Amino acid sequence: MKLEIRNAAFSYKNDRRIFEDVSFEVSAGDVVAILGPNGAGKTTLLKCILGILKLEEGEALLDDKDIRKIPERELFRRVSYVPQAKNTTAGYTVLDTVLIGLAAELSVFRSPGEAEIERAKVALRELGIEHLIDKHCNKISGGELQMVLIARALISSPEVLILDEPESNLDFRNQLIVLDTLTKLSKRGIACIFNTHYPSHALQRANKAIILSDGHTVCGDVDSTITAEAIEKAFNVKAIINEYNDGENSVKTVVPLSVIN
Amino acid sequence: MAKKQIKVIRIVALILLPILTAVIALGIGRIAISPKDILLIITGRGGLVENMARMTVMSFRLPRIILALFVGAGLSVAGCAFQGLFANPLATPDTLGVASGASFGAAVAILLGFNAIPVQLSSFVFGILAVILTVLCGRGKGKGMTMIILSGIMIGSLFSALISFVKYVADAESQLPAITYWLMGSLASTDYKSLMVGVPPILVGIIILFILRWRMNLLPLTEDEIKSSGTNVLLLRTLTVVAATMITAASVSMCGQVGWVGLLVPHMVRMRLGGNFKDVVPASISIGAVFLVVVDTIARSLTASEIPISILTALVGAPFFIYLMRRGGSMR
Repeated sequence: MKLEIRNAAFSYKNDRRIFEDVSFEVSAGDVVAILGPNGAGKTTLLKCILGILKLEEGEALLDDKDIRKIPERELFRRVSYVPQAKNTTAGYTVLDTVLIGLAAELSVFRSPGEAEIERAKVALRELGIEHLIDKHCNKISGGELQMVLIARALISSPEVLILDEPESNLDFRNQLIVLDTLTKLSKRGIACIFNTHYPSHALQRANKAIILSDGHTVCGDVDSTITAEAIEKAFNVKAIINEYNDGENSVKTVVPLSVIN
Repeated sequence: MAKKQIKVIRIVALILLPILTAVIALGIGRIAISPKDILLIITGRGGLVENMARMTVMSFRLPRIILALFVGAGLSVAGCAFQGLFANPLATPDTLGVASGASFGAAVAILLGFNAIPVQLSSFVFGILAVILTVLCGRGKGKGMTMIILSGIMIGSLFSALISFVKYVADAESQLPAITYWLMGSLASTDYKSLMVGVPPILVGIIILFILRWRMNLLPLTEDEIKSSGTNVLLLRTLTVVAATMITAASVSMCGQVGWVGLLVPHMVRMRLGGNFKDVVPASISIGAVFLVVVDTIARSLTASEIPISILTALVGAPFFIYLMRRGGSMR
């Protein structure tokens, strides 16, 4: 599997450029973080990668084929989208929600049966949330709901997972659970692309990063991309990168110091 | 295992319940007829039963109850579809202006002195026209579903104004009462001929929605979620709207505006079974059919003269709805 974005640029009708010069390559097991200030086009970029929006310039290719030319049913069996937990209408049980992830696979006239329910259970078990199966989606916590949405994306055994701010609106512990899940999935060979507001999360979990900011894009390996200078330029925030090392664990964090006016 | 058994029992119950209700309802009325005689009559061995009873069942009650079964099932599943489509628990067939448009069509036909089938056809045409107008007005800039609801409300009130105008110019002696009573909703003036015209579109609509039932779970989700599920959003929405509208227009053309059914039944079902359309759609079809047969039976047999059915659906429906709501169970 190779997902490739080449010289991508996008602007909404009659409006300024949202982003340009975005180029990166994703292969199995990659974790790609997309950073940038509010309104920089992070979600827009995700939608372009999903083929929901059309790039103004450049290409999005999956195994050298234009994403928008791949039939939707085929594309969305290989690429799964995980929306933000707060944006979803939670009217169903966890099981029903996870089964929706099979919509691209099942023909219009079919409903999921025993075999599909078994697959839903496997997906839930993998994420350690099988106990939620009969719960109602509006009766579980935000962290649990985010995990359910990841399970919904996983049930179709995708090669690429695209997540829109998966750890936003979550508490400390649940953020860690979601990030650990990404790491685990990438070790299984699933490529993960996610938007985030936390440069530290990108540093800790991703191996590639993209920083979008007003007509200025940086893409590349995470360590060469997320630097104090790059953060300063993109966010107008003075920051340092700190490394904590206790001999066993080494954790890098981006510490914001002050706003630059 | 136990779960599976409950499922089987539920399916059997949902199939049997409307049939059972219909058989009992056939026997209720000015002339009471036992279920045994009813079975004899409808299986064609009515020679053993007295003529009067046979006449009553075959030419009056049976067509009426068939109509109630289909309209009840249809309006319920149409309500279900609109609620999913707009991700709005209060959406009803009225939201698209269909009911008002169809009513206007029928009112005009009555005004022009037509009856029976031309009234139905005109109602059907204007019902469809109302949706097309709603969709055209709601499309474009805003694109979101709220735009379509808003434009549906506008088109609905436009047709309501036109209905008022029709009433205003109608002959106060004969046409005005006819239009007014028809708008209140009645299943009384049904015969097999009008069933032949009105039932097929309802049946086709119900079948379409039944087939799509699991996929309808996608409807209330966000635009991006639907698209990334690999489903053709436009096709799914169009099929749902067309099916639900066809049902509504055909129902309105046959028996006027029977309110409440499309709101009441899907919610009752949802309170018991949860939000999954795979369960809610078949249950709404069955319970909707039962509901309208029961209400119509009360409407025609409670007092010497007939009570307009809309008054009853509201009177029976609203308290029951409140009772269910208070007893717990979430709306969606």
